[in-house]
Amino acid sequence: MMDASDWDDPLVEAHESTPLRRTFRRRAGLVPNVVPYLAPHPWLYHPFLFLSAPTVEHIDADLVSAICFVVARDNACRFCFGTFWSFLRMAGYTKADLDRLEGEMYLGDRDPAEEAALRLAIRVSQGRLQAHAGASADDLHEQGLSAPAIREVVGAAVLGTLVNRTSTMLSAPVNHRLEDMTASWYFDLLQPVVGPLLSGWQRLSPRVPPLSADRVTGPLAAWTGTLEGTSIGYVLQDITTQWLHHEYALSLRTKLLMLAVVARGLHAAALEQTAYRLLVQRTETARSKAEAIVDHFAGAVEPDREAGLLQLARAAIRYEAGHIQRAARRHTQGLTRDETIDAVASIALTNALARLHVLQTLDE
Amino acid sequence: MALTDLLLLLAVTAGLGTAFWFYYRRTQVLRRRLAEANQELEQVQRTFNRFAPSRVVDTVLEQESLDIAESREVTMLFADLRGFTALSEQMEAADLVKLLNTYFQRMDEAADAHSGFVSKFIGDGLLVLFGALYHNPWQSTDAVQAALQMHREVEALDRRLDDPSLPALHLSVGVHRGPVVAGIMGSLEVKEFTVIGRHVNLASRIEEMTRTHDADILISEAVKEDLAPSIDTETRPPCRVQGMAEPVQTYAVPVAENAPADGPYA
Repeated sequence: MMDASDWDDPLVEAHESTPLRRTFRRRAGLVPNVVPYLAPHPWLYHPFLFLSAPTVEHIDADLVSAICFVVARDNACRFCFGTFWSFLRMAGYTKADLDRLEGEMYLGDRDPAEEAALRLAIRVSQGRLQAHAGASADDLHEQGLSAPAIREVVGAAVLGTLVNRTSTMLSAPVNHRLEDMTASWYFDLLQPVVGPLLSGWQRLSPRVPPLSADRVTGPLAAWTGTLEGTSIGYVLQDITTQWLHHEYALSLRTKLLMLAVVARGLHAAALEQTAYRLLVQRTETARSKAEAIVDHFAGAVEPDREAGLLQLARAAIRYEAGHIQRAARRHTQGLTRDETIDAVASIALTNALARLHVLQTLDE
Repeated sequence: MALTDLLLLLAVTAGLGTAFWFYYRRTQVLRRRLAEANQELEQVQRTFNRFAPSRVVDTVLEQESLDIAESREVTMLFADLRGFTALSEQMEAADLVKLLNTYFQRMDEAADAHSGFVSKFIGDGLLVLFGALYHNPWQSTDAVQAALQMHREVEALDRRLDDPSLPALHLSVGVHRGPVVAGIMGSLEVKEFTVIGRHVNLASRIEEMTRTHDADILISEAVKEDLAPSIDTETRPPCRVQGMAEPVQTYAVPVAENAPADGPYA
């Protein structure tokens, strides 16, 4: 198990929300430790809830947990690593299976499609989005991944990255009890009962519908629409709409500047241009000013606060757990709890949206 | 309940308790050993990253080939520790190695703090790359900020020596950016991830020009063009450089005028 000694204390204090706990218990059958740190943000819990009991159309549900596990391992997210390790144990995988997944990139019998999916997921989480950075769509088809499966794999990877960034920035507390239980010898005896019970419970809970064409709306539809036909797309479209239309704690301007910074850092030029267009249209920020801010993190209205948050957005693009956690502590000083969580949520979501760029470059 | 039943119950309870105690102890020991093994593994990984950064390792694994090379826009920082050769003649070998290791550690941390990657240590100098491993649109400012931090670190090291009989330590830095070929190079046995191209040579020349231009940090026009306006620079006269058709325009970055602030780039 990954060492937890470098993992910081939580960034914000816990906020118990009984309705949210009930939602997780009803849908997933368990409540991850991170939940009290997400409340009462209006949508940040959605990706966590979805990944606790994923609904998938074109790939195996266990592959989603495997993707989130390898993404967590690659990103050294201690919370996510332990959580998805435990989920896979509950799904019936042995410790040896999970060791093999960590080291050799396959879960059950060696399957080229599964291995290709896991490598694609790591590439997405690392932000290697350009055409030359890895296998093309044709290569992936040859390895056995259909076009809808590729979309779902990328969707799982971006959602996994969103959850990783959130957990890392918030320093979500590790669930030692769950990890110890699923690591114990007696869990091998309990699993044949616990596993089917839990999956049966999750099957009975309402399923997230696939994203239909008529729901793909809004100025970022070109990105969320790449996941059309998948439930992951439904979740991402839903939270993107809420992010764009509701000013929970941060202004739309700050959030759009974060989007521009992350898109710039990930070389997603079209998304960066869209962010500038939205800044001009919706926040009356001059384009030249917005570009100058993204170029040099200077010229903001509230330099200390906004520029600091943009620096945090930049720090969260490439994964280094310690670096991100230090930046989160530094740049959220003086912010309210709601502002801090909204900043974390916005940075995590913009990282997910910008990574969808890979679906445009795979065909090049 | 008969006494024998009670004794049997006590014996079973004691047996179970002992078994659980042994299990608990075994788990604790295993957990500690796992944590220690993890720490050792992380140390090995950090060391290995020097020769092959994780991004490069991933590409190698994905492409199943060591033939990795791509043309990239990279900012190169060459640094040289002036005064070290004279110092090495006056210090004990053990103290010298300790000093040099502290210096390299601090240079590495300064590079890392600004998204740089130490490509190689060259004697008491080093080559740091920005934007070589992944796309970095802020690489010019990152490189200059790293250079400023390196300077402050060397000043602190020099103060720590606190011996007027020893020659002063001083860092000279040259920064330049341009398209280069980045990839894994070397013999079959020894390989490293580095960059090649005429811009690499020019970056090295700019570092050498710090002596004639009386500058601690000297940057090229290409770096200046993309630099955050908050960083002060001073124009230096254009200078002919071997291998370049046109004189090279450079700018000094005064260390004192660019003291660390609590700004976004601090």
